[in-house]
Amino acid sequence: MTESRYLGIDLGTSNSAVAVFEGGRVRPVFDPMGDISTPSVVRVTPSGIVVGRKAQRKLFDDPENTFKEFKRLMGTNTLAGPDRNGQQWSPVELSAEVLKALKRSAEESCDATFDKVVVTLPALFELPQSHATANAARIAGFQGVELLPEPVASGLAAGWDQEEKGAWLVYDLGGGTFDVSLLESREGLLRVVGHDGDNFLGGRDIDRAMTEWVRQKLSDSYRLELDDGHGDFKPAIRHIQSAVEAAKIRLSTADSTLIELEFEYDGQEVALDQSISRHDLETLSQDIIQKTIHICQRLVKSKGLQPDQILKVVLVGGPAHMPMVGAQVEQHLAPIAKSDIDPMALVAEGAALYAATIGLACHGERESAKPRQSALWLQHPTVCSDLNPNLLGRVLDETMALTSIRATETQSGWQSDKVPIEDNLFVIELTIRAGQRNRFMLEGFDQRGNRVDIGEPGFEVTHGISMSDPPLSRSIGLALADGSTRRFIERGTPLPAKRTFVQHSAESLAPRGEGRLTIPIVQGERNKSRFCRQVGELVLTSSDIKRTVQVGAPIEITIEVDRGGDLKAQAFLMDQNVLIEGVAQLAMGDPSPESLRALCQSLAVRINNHFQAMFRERDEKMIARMEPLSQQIQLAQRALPELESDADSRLRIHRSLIEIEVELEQIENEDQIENLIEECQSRYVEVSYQVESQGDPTDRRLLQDLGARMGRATERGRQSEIEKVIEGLESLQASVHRKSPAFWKDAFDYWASFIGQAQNQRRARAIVSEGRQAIADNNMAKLESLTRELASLIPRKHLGGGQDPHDSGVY
Amino acid sequence: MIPAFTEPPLCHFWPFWVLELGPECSDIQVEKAAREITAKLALGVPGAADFQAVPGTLQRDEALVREARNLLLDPDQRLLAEFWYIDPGSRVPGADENLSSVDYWRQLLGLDA
Repeated sequence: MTESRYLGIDLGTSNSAVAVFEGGRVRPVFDPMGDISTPSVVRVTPSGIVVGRKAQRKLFDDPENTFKEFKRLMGTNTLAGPDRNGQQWSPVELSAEVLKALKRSAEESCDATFDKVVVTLPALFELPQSHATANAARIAGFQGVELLPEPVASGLAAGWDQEEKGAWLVYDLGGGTFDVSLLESREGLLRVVGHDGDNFLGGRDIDRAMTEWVRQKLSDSYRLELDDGHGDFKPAIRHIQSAVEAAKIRLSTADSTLIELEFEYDGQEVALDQSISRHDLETLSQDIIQKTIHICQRLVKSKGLQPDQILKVVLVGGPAHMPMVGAQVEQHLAPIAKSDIDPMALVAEGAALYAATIGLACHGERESAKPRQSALWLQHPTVCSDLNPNLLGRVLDETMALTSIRATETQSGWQSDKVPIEDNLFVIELTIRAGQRNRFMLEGFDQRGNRVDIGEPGFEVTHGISMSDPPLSRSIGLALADGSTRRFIERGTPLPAKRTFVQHSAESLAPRGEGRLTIPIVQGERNKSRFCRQVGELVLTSSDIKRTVQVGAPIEITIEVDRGGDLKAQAFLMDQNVLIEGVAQLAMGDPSPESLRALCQSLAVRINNHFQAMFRERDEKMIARMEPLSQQIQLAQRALPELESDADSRLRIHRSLIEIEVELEQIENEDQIENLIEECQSRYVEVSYQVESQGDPTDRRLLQDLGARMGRATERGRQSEIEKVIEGLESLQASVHRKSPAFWKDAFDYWASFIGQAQNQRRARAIVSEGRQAIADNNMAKLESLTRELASLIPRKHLGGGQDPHDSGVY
Repeated sequence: MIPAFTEPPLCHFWPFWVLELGPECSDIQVEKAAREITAKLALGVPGAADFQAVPGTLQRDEALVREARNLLLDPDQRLLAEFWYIDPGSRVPGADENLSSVDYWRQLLGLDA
């Protein structure tokens, strides 16, 4: 019988691990140094590539050729290096080296080859990051790659042999990311109810805070200024970072420790011991840990649960095992779950278990032990919670005289009936032992009941928890021409997923020439597309189409995402029967330091202006809401010096600034109620005057009705109601205005103001000239027809007020 | 009006019909049915791609089966599916005896309009 094995890899920011599921159980694979985890560090040596602890030892001696924490830049075009050979390395290439090393360890450990794998990734990785991870695995030599969110993997590993039913959290504080997942186990099925997290929050932020603390101590006590304004202190800073990381680990068990500092300052050797207590560390980490607790509470609340409904919390990741994290989690969330699995291998083991539940088997034996070809094609679960799963099979060799088949479990001796084979197909209901690995052998029989040789048709089914499909981390949709987002696949949708909607062309596209219509695909939860990340685009070009795509033409758009991070999209031009497939997957942009400085500055000014206004009005409630934003923008401003050298910092600051901007807009919108009421009242006065002078009795009745509605809406202070009244007033005003002689003149002037964006400039200019003449001649009928023609030449997307940064061609 | 709870909001994608289960089924039965239909589809078993729905016999593929499974394993979505459940072979008392069950439901849902 061919042994099936399943491989799972935890590709971590700081450390990686690999585990194998075989023989009905999962086990971690130790690296050549005998460690359960391998540092995600790659070093280029004169004789080749070295990965892991050996490479890590040279981080400070040979930093130009040694690379770490590249996972934080997955999905970007940032390059590391050049190394000693002049080669620059992408995060994908460096990750592929780590994966190759782990693959080698697993193959040597099992004496087998692995060509399929489940690789874990942070739950909030966006599509470009997921896609880059899958590419790294393919470069490492895996043909089949499935991705699994880290918290789901750790949840599966921790929940594998748990009998308890209910909801629990997986709190995963890694080196560079924080993820939390809410899981529920029921009837042997583990389901991800939801997840949350922060892609740029991790143990490294604690190290950063500690490094900053040490720098401050050195400045205050010894007048050693380790900042870029006083020279190049990168080697010294790197040394401090390494020393504080070691001290942080020691403080997990000790109440205080010494940070041993040895570096060069102004040509002099400096050797100092700085003492740090656990209390100091707790003070420095307080904000970071609080932020993680807040994210957990937000997740629990968003799923309609009370904190006391959470049975337990599984802690994952090195920093999560700091004593203060456990204490805060138990105080604010739920008891910590006990587990026998080494926390460093938990994620990898979950990945291997998941590979087994989805049947991602590797059958590759080394040359000496190749299996005989089986005569049957079998379909059965590898892992399932059902004690009576079915085996379905097809006889591949139709010339065989097989008429019935029987399954026997080799350990318990359980035997099925002889099941008849009809049309070369058969179904056997199996009985498996709870919590056990069950090995079955099949026997084939001919019409007379004699045995028939059917090769080596053995198989295994393990009883255990099974998983629902992993959920999409962030919604995927289209950026529309008006600056809004149309969500196609909602966050939390199990993957793979595919959705189709009909949109409309916002501009025309002629079949000849070099025209193109862009359909940007974005990921994020915001309604305004500029706050979402563009992850791909579908482009319709003139050569794709048979005849002109008119403005408003329906386009059926399909978006598909699989578990390997692949995004597919297609557009079907319904009135031309033309299908355009494929999507350009985009890397995550690396924002320039200048643009980030400008954004930071403009947000600081906006926040400051609001503060001044709020203080003037003594609006304490709004001041309290604005204060956290003020603190965040100050933090971002302090981090600005890091922008030049560190692409990871740029991404982190960019994300923080976007979050500040979103929150600020929300506060501004709330502030708008007052403005809306004011706008509504002044619009009412304006329309009253017009209705009085130009309206008929129906218009007067409508105005009276709107006046009553305005009174009710302003009294309740409901934004949507006030907006509806304003809309009503606007439409009444338009209706009255339409009856006035000035209407078509105003409309003509309005459309003429967009002449620069007209698709046919020559015709547009001619229309404007003819229109001016029609106004002079007072020929309103002609002016009406010219205005309508002019309006049709202006693409809709130019009317959105610059809200669409993605240049979308659909609405 | 056709109740919509899936995207695309088409009544014939109702998950109970796709998996040929009733609203009383357990999670394990959902898992088992999805696994079996997927296996039958993979093996090319004749008729595996067909399922009965109100508008008649419709086609399913692996993606639709997976989607139906995921819907029924999500308690919120399942509640909605149970609420809107219609037995594809059922008849309402007093329905026109001359109409087949499928034609009756087509008429009721306005699919012939």
